[in-house]
Amino acid sequence: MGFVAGVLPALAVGVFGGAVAAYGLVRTIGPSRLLSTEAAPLALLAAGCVLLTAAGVTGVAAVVRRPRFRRWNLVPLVAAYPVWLATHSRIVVPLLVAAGLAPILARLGRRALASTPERKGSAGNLLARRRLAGQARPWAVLAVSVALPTALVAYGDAALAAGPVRYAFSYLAGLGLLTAVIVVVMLLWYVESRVTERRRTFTLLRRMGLRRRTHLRATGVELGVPLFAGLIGGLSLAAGLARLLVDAPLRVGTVATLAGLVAAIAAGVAGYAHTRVAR
Amino acid sequence: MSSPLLTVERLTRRFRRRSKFVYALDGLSLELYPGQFAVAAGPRGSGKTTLLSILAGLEPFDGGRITTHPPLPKDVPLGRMRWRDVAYVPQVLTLLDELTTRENVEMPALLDPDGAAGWPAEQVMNRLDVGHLADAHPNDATRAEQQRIAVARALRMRPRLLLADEPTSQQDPDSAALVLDVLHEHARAGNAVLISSDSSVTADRVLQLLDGRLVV
Repeated sequence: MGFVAGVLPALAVGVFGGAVAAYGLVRTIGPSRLLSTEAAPLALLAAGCVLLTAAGVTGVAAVVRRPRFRRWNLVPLVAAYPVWLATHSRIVVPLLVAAGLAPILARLGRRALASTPERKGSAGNLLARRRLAGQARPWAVLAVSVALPTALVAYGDAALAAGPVRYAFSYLAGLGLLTAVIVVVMLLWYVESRVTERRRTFTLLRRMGLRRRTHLRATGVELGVPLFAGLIGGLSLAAGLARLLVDAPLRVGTVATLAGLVAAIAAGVAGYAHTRVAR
Repeated sequence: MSSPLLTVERLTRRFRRRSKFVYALDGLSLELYPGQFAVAAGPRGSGKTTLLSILAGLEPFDGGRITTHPPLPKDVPLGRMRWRDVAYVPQVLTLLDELTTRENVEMPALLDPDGAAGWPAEQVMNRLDVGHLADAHPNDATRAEQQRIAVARALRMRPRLLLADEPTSQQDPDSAALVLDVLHEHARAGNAVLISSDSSVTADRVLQLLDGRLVV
């Protein structure tokens, strides 16, 4: 929980700064059906939601980082059943189940990444797995920061196609694009912050026999897994929301476009990271 | 003594500082033999680390010639030598924090086509008194233990030539003696060992460096 407490002030500043900027932009450039008339309370509501989401994400990430299972991890899971009996809510109950399963799955996942016995010639896989496990926190944050806009765009698109427009889809698409840019910048920053250390490691590993293509593959896996996990999570969330709220499937073209975008980001950043380290 | 394993002739490494060249190594020549334990000694800036980095194939040189002799492969650049031929303990240890210490020691074997060869990781770690850290991560070890783990990694494939940059700099006297014992054993087994050291170390040959030149 220390980690959550540590990052919350920064998140709060960012979220409320963004909300104020969005309010100003909408007031000056607007109008939009979503924010024009009640921009201030909606911006604050959005900020609160993002803050809560961020706290949840960082909490899950902290569990992934140090997966100590505690009894209270089971509380949401146990509570799901009585809540279902009482409310039959198809939104709250799945969220409770997800919240209960997250630390358990995170622990299992981390264990699988960290304890797979290495085999001869598997240095690249070992490196990729261990780097994924060792950097679980930023990768969890990255996956969620891919999942949320993916879900927004895919769901918004499905809702738009399904019937009366209730949300300004262009805003959702713009938000998704902006987030993609932010994700790329975050990834490049992450890569750059580790270039010196990784170049030194790469030089020594090359002397031990590491091949360039093995390093490229390991880098691709390390960066690609969280991105694709985010994509799949986001699409699943969007599919569930679209089915529940507007009873419509996701549009294949949009899904393919999002998958292509994520694949292009993963390949581009992995190639860049490899080139920076192995030049 | 038998034929040399490595011959270095008039090795030069220079860096440009403003308009002048500064020589890290200035026409240095030496030979290393199988079974020899050699120490490159000298004050800071005398060229010890540069010499070891060049011999490890991690740094280029500007002049001179380095020739390898059997059983080291001939006509293979030093940077392409396998870990079983030339292994290196850098001063910046470059252990991978994501891996356990045993995996760090095992890494050269994982990257070698014949990984079963060499000195089993557990044995070499126990010999260097870091066996109890096998499942820990490097960050959980002390600086001295990390240095011994790096030595264990270098010894994993029983290299013909082992290069170590200040391998006892972080050790207390007992641990330093242990590391030197292990390195002496490795040399006695028919391999060549070249380490750098500021302090006095018993060796078959002491290469006294000063301003990039061999003075003894």
